[in-house]
Amino acid sequence: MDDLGQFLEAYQTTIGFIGLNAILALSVWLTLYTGQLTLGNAAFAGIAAYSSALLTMKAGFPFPLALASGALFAAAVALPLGATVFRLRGVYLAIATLAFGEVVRVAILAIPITGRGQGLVGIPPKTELWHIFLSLIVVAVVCARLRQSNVGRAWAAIREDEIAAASQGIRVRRYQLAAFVLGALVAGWAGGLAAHFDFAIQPDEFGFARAVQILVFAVVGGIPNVLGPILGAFLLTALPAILQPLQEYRDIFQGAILVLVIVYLPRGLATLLELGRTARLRTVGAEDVA
Amino acid sequence: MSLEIAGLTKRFGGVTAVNAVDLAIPSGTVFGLIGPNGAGKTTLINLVSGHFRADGGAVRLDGAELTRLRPDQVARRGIARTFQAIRLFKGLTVMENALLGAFVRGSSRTRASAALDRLGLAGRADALAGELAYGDQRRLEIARALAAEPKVLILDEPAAGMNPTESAALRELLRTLAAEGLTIILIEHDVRLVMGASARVAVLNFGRKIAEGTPAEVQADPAVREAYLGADSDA
Repeated sequence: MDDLGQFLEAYQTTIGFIGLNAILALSVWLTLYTGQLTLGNAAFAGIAAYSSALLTMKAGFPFPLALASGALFAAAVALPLGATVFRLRGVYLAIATLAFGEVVRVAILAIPITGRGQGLVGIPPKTELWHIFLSLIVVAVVCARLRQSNVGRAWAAIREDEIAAASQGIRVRRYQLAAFVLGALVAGWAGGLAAHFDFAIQPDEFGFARAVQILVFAVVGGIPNVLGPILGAFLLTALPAILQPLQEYRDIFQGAILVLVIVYLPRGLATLLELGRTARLRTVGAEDVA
Repeated sequence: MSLEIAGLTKRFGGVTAVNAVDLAIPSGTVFGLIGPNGAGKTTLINLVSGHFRADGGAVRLDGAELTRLRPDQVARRGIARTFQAIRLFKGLTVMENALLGAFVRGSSRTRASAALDRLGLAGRADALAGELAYGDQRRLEIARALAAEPKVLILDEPAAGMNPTESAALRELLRTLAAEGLTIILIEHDVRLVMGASARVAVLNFGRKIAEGTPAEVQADPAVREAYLGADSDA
């Protein structure tokens, strides 16, 4: 027990970020599972991180209320954004959501109350490890349940063939938007937790690099089930800590793993044990080989 | 009168693909829609199913206007369809495809299984849709449409790629379904299937309806003979 206590203390930050990254990876899983490539989740996390931190620091909100407000605010921003950008497809949708992320970053730099480039410092460190991992479990269970429900099947149908999905009576736009807004809500929750975990936040933490990183967690881990994004976030967050001597080569490592996984495990690390199914899906030309 | 099409028109640039077509399709019948390639058959049903927006005219189901509805709204009003180029959810299982067909009925497993049973696909429930043989994929599309328990079933060349035995079985199925009260619109190049299954047949050519009647009447119609012989058709 004492050993575990020491371990948690020594690696508290890394363990916390593994959990936070896993939640963020699940947030982007929601849209990836419907076949939509969106890159706005880092920005949604940022919106919620700043708003929830400001609520606890300046408005004296209790921590849980600040977290919920931040996440709901991110979702409220996602709703009109999604209603607009889901007219776009594929790469254009990705670029539009990426552009939104830049707008958010620049807006944070322009608004004085955010501390601009210096970031927001002195955020009360309210987030405990168990908050993060309880949140992760709740999000993962909800995603897994959704996946197996009629909603999840409709998402899969949209991914496979939007026109055929609509012909089954599925309101395609509404289901895509639901995944997007839910993803923003989850990303926002993670953002609020991150802000109160780290004492300080900076605009760059929620920029382009972060958006891509979250996507990489989910894709490397795998989209077919909810364990994939968690596994991807765990491995890619823990790897630099485990291989500390290689720290400066971390990005090369991450890139190499990404390439190897995409070539040999196109459905992600979580599908290591179902290569047969992957081959079958490839043969029939399924979308996203999910 | 189940499905009513009045003055339906669709233009693509300078081409009028469907030109003021009127059709009245009674409930519980198989209604054949034939015509040379490019006659406007598929465009017509894309207008009915909401995939295209009509430039003029109206589509009504039991008196209720469908003309401006989206495909998902049309589906929820009780019109199910198949596609000329098969559009199954290839990476999902046969059962999942049928469950999605039953989406408007709450994805009922009973309805999905019954529809698969009906098309002889119950044994393949766990196969991926894309793994099925071509004829089975056609049948799965029909099963998926039937799982919705629609009022109207639109079939766009369901027998393409089927052998004569399969096509004959399909003809029997269509007759049975019509006898149960389902309204079926059948677009098909297999003349034996259309004439054998349909109570009435309409012929399109260059977007216009040039003939309508019983299969025998249509086959005897001089305008129909001219359209086919003059149009270098494969039908």
